[in-house]
Amino acid sequence: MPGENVLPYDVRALRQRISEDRAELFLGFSPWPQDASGWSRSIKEKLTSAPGKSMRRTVWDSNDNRDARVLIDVIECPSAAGAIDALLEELAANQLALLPEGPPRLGIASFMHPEGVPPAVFFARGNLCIRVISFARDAVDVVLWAERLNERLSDEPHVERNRIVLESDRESARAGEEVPVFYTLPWALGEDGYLKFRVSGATLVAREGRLFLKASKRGDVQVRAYALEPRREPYAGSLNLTIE
Amino acid sequence: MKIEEVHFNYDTSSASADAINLRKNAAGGPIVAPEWKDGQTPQAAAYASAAIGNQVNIKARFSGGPSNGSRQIRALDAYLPPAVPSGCLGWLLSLIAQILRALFGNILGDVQKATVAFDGAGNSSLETFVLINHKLKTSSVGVHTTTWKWQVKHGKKWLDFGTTQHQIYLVLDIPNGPWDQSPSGNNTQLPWVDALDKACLWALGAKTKDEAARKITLAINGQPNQSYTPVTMFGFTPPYQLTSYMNQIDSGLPFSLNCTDCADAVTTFANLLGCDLWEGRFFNMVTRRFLPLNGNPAVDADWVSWNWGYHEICWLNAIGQNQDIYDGCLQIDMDNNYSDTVHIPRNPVKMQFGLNGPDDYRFRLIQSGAGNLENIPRRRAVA
Repeated sequence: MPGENVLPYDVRALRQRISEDRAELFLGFSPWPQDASGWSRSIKEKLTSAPGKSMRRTVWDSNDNRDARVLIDVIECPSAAGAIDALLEELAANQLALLPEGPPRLGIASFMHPEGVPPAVFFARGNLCIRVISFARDAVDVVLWAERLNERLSDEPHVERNRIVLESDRESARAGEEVPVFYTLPWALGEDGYLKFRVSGATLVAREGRLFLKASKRGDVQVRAYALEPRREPYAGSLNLTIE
Repeated sequence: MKIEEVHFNYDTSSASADAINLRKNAAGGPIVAPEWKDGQTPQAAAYASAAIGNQVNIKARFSGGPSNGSRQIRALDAYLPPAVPSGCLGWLLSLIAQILRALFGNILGDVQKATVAFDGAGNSSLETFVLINHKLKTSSVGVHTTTWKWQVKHGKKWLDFGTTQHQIYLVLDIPNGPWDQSPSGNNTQLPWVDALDKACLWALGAKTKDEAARKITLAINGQPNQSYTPVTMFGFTPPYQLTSYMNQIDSGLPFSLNCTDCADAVTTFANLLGCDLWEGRFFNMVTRRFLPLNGNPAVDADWVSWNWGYHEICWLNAIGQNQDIYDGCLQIDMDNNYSDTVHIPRNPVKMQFGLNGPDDYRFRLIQSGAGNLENIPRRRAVA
């Protein structure tokens, strides 16, 4: 009989977890050395990925155990829906028949390996799908790693000055209309720098290097942007729009 | 007289009389003839044994010749057998030298003499030479070094005027997918020299495609720094992250991978040598106990069973119950008593997928569950 891989997950329910009037979007996020105290980054690769997505891989080696390594892949998608799709691809590419859900606080959806299996955790947050995998013979508690990354993603940075110029070509828009959002940074980010966008009242997608927001109903929309780098003061910017 | 250039892959549209199209790796561009150019780092060339026709040619260019004159030029294998002592030791050393030469020595033979014309400045055009005494049709998979002593004829004497050295890969046939031979643009799917380095070493001495596929499967299964995880590490959705995989192997550091990664590796490296493997999956099974990557067959606890949603392996020619398979991810247990601690490990190499026969792969791997085949043959593009 011909086979078909029917995944035993409630895909519809996973997609429904995506908010229609709130969004997070991250550009260039990758683990920082301070996320991995006592570990050394041995690999940092940008892997070829499907159009519209990017994939950054880092591998972290324990400083005192050669057989303890952690691999972190950050798959950057255009939108939160793309991140859920990437998470589903992760589940499809896993040989285990069924993965239990991960800790509820980890992104909007997460799955992990059960006990007795080399540890791995997968989660979607904003437009990112992140996988943290114990990559060598000795098991590493990768949930702790994932939680540290999740904390940094959810962190609301304290910013003294708004130095990111965040603007649109209009001050108001209609519900359902895509509105381009432009940003200008005061300087180029370093290799570990990343951008974090928080949106209330709309969703935000990244497409071909541009940002677009879309609100499903009338009201006020606020976009807040942060530029973050290790050992550097964060800076921010904001944009307000009215949806009519 | 001076040798300026040697061209091995002078015709990118054919591999019957010259070398195949190559690139260094994903990042490096295609290797373009001349592979050897005076004063530059030489580049490798590769030949596909089955594609070779009756005559193999190279092209070469010279300078310092007679103004508006011509000369006969040839190149001979510069190999000199090492001096060995007499007696048993000498015989043994001579035998070792012969084996090493067969495995790694010249397979291009000699360059047959040809008359080369020179212009007023003493430069030749690009001249075609026929290779004689080559072993491209009879030798086995390998990485070979050819050193040629170039000679020009003066009167009745041949005089040396230059030496060139070439790294030559021999594969069994034109590489199959994901590799291709399209010379246009920056084709990243041209065979990579970095991958040939590994494939030709792992399948060293293979004379048939079955033997090459077997050797590649055993090599992938036997990489000492690998361990098993159910997660696909190097690309389920194409491309197959071959560069990343090779970096991990070369690092010597331990790393983990799953069946899809092993199937990708076996298919990609075997097909580079001209084999015809495909990756394909089957679904829903509880396995019998098998030996995962780097398990110790003598340790009962190393024999494990998994509940898998899918397993991916390599298929010879096509996916089907009666087809032969290769599995680089595990070793099955050929012992008929699955409840004792006696295990007979076997690498699944050209084994029929089958059903419930004692020599069928399916019977030896699946304890329960459907194990239905997905008839989607894959060869993931490399990156």
